[in-house]
Amino acid sequence: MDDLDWLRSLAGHGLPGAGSLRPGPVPDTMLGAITRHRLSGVLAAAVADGSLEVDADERARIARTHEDAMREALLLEEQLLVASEVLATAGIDHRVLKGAALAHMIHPDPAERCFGDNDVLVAAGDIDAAVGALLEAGARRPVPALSSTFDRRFAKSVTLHWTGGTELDLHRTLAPGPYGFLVVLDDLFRDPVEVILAGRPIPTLPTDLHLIHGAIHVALGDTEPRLGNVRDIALLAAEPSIDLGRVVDTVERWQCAAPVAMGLRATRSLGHRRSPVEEWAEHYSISDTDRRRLECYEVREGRFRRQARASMSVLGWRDRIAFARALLRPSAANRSARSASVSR
Amino acid sequence: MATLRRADVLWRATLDGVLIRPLGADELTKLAGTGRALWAALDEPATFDEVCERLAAGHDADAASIAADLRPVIDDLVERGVVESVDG
Repeated sequence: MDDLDWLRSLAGHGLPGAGSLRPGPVPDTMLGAITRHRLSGVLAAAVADGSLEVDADERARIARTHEDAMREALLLEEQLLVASEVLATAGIDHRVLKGAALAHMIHPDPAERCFGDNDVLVAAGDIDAAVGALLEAGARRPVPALSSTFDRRFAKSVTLHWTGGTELDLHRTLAPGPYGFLVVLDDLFRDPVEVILAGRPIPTLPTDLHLIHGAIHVALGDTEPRLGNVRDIALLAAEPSIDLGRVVDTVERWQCAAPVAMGLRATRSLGHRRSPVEEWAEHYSISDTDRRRLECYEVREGRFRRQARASMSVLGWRDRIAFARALLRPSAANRSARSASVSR
Repeated sequence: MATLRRADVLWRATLDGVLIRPLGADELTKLAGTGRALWAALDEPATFDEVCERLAAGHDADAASIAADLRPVIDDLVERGVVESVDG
């Protein structure tokens, strides 16, 4: 078993039908990879439940690594509460995505889920007001919009920074590139559920939409997805509330079945007992159209340009022109911020 | 008078204890070692004697000997805004 296989078995730890962890020391070099894959919470859980036997020194290193991750998670959750309150006060409906929401929804203990930023979804028509409200509350936007209408028409998300160095991604949609334009955005605001943070209800997506988002993120996000995100998909897929028919109906209407199937297939490596929705993904046949669309996500180098070009095929004529114009002739503020960041 | 965790704090269990973040506070509170058991014992309102008994049962110890050590810890946690006293 090599290091990556061990990381995968760690990511599958505790999932139904998953095998046991390889015994033995966890080298220092592995702790870095475990942190990168956001698995230090799972590692701490494996030590705590006795699945992984470690000596006192190793235990202390694992405890320190996990504690650092939890300090970050608690800071992010506090800032999420602030952001959610700012948006609610401004009358802006919103949904928390990924990390903080999933930590409290699907993990047996939120301490298992590490995350490095906050992700909040707002309706496309609200994103300018949401950015304005958060800037007024102390957030900072490092890169201004490409054009005055770009955020609400074309952006996947707007990145904001808070004092303390944390990041908030304010999403308009769930993915970059063509699939981001195909998501039926109104669907994301149906059937909200709440997670409770510090006694306060925070709106988030129902589990089926979290599952779809998680799979899209793994398939279309980083070229090497974090195993912590793959674990999320396996946990979501095993949730009793997941209705296969409803998931398939949603992803077919969105024309996003291909990336969702690909994201679900990524859980194969965790070695757990597969759920009906993961079985569906195994048998899903990817069309030639989807294969062409998926190409723009495959290589890290030059992704933005390739995704922008591929997006043209799913946009209407008027949007194509505005999108191309914004990319070719970005606002002066955007150009200036990007050139400053390059020269730093 | 009973004591319990404040609802408006964020917290996480760690391998060595519990990290607690009261909203708006500059510092986190860390309960190490048996502090984790104390945090669990404060999940529901409990009188000081009840907390001592819960901890004693979990650690095969005498409630009276725990009481002497626990009083200043509870007082400190109230001051830090992570637990509160309620009628009950």
